[in-house]
Amino acid sequence: MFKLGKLAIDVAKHYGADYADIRIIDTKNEEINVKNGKLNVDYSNTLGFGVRVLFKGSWGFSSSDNLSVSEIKKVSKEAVMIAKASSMLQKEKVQLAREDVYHDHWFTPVLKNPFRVPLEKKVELLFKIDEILRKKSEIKVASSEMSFQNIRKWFISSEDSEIVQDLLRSGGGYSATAVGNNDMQTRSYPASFGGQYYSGGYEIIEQMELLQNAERIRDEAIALLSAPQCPNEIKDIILGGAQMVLQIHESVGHATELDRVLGYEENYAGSSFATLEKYKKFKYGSNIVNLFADATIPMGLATQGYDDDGVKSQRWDIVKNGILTGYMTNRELAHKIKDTRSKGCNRSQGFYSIPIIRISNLSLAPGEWELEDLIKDTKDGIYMDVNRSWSIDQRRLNFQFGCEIGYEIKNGKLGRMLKNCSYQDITPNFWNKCDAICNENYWDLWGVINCGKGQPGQRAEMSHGSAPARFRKVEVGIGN
Amino acid sequence: MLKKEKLLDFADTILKLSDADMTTVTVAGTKESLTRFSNNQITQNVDSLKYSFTIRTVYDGKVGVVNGTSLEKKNLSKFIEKAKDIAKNQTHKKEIFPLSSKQDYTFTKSFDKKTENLAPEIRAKYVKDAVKLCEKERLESAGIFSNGATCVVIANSNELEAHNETSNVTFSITVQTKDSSGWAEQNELSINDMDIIGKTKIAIEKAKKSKNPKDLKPGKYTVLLEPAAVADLISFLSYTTFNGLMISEGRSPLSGKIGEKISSTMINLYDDPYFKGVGGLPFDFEGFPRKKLTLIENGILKEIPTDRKVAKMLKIDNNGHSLGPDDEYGPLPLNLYLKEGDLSFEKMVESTQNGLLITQFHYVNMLNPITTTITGMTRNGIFFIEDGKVKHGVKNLRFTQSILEALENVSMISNKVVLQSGGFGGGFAVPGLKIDHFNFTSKTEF
Ligand SMILES: [Zn+2]
Repeated sequence: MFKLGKLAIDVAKHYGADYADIRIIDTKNEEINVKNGKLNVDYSNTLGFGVRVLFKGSWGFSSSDNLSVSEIKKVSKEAVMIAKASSMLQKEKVQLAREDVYHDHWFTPVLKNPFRVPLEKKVELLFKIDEILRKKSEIKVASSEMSFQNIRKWFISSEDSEIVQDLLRSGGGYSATAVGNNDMQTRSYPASFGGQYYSGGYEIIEQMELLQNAERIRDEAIALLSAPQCPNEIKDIILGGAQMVLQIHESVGHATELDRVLGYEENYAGSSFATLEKYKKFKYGSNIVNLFADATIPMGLATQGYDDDGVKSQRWDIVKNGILTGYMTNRELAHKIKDTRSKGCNRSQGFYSIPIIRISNLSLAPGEWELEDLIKDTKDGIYMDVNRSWSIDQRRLNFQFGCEIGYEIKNGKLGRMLKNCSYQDITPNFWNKCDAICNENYWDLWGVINCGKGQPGQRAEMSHGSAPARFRKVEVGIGN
Repeated sequence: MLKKEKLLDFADTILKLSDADMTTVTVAGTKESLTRFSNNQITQNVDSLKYSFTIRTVYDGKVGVVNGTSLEKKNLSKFIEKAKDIAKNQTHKKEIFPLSSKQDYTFTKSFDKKTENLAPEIRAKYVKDAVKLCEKERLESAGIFSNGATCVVIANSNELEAHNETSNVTFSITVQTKDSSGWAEQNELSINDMDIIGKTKIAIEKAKKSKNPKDLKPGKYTVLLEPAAVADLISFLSYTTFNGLMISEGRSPLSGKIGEKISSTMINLYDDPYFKGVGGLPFDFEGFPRKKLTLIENGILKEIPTDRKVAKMLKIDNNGHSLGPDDEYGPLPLNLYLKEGDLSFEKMVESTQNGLLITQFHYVNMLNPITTTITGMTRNGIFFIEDGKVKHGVKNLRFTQSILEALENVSMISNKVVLQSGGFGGGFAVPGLKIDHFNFTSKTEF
């Protein structure tokens, strides 16, 4: 592979490229789903390469799924031709931040290779869950799934880096949809929209306690049908970890992607309110809010040895004691915040897409509270968890998020179940209302596998860690 | 991109190699060339040609599905073996419908070779023309110019052969001043229909007109939605509300409502893959001919999309909307066409005493599928209308609104439909709408 890679670099240089890299990517996926007793197993294997070049400070990129010598030559040349066209409309030359040269092989630590676990064993577990979920007739849809992904990625650059990475991730979950009482309600476990994912092997599935929670999830979905609606009022809210993930992702993660901040996404996903004059000054949240990015954290979905710029993984602060102190950066844009080195956030969906800045693993540091004490300390509130719906404006200020389930809190006691829970606020107002975060015993990493960005659209995966946290005086139940 | 014969030949190789009771091969190709610009310069420029194939084999009521990318024949037996392996290692059987046989399809003109293969210099030139106009006005612009094509082949061991190809071209531009922005976009099947300068001028005009936006209190307003905003609203009808399986399982507000009034009598909504310029697929993902559907006629729910499973559940005909033989999501109307009215959009503005003109929505998502309540933001041009005139720009607002309720409150429909692209076989055609009592629930800072 390194030989083929070198060829791509040589051809690009021959046609005038000042910088070139190639990524050859071999991806295996296994997806198993049982819906209402029906099994679907889907296996895929994709292989291809993408060549990225700089010509006089302009980018060009081309890719192919045909890994032959003649095709590599053709695609490399094409990438340079595209870069030449880009240079027709250039204001500022791309300059890459310095990075060391690496010769390395990095791999995800794995205990049990999920691709070697017999299919029938995985299928049986899903059928058992399916049976429990459908034991009550109110459940109209029961869906359970598992998914495994193995990526082998070769990176070769004109700066002489040669990196191989073997990345593995595993995960799954289930949901039950109850219909009745002129309503429809869904509960999911461990999280919504496909479940919970970590980098690692089949041991992850075994530790999820999938079966043990199925009955509770089913009964909660049914109970929600006759639960009262979340009122449209101002309340103190405590968000559970599965909802905090989305809060962190949408209102901090995307807002601190440097390409968005600089207007590169203006026509599509949007820009950001967290503009450069706010860097190291802006009060993003209350003093107890500490958010850190970490591409080295064990079991994170963005955890790898190197990003697609060939930059070694790092950990850094995004919000420190409530102040905005960092951004997600790549080699192209690091200098815009006067950094001499990239934080290593450049990633692409596959061999056919150009790397762009993506959110790294981004987490809220744990606080000191026991959850029980936090509830006791809340007079008039709602505990909400597990995301159901999300929407945020293009500068990441006004958001409105919905949750699967909520519980009233009255005078320090958890009360009745509430349905159709949602809350709305403006990002910095909201994070400044954060007055309590639970301790590390309640802290977990949650995987996001469907983050969309860019044109052409690309999907990326990352994790966010959080414990439950409280926010004072927030509007809830909009539209109810 | 590969032509029909080559794709069918590839599929045929697999069909010959497979010893399954039933074998289906689907091949999809996407050629995508995209030049992206922001801050008035080209920032990204990519070209990709990508194929993917799916082999579905059935052995004794058990299914194995494998996917791959490279259309090289040398690795195929490995994939076929894997599919067999998956099927044979199961103990659970499921109900399996027989394979579709050879069918007749109605084709519309949807492919243009020139549009598929525009050179990067040509894209750069179009972008340069647009940026030049913005620079003349000292405005910043960002956007894309993309072109390409998609192809699909479905073939099976029951002699089905289905093929379709479409080309596409998109220009999208956002123009910004210090405190406002404007947007315009055009999606066509052929480069000959594009008007880059015209669209750029619209975006510039919107950005200039919405300078110094005023704060507006959230509440219920009459809105004039331009077609792009209408598409943002009704796309949720396509994915959820009009999902045939959700309707048949009681998970849609339309469940059990066929023949009943569900919107204003002004509304006529179709699923029409044959509408000019939409580029819809003439067959579904099992190879059945896709029938044009009358979803809503004068406000009455008439037809819903079906596949064989839904058809059986509801005891109606299969009208060719399957997403695939093992699909569990449900048949969808992929090509919504909302019938135009007889007024120009300008006349609709003139008729409005007090209201808001909306260019586009952003990040719309479903809050409650049973009430069809969605939430989202306005984006890139929201204007206050007073006494029939556009007065000034307004800071962006968030809405929380039921789609079906909004369709009940439609009071005018414009006389021109605009095409909205939607990926594989997708794409809508919608006019502008005037809707009363549209519910805005909060505001933002710009
Ligand atoms: Zn995201």
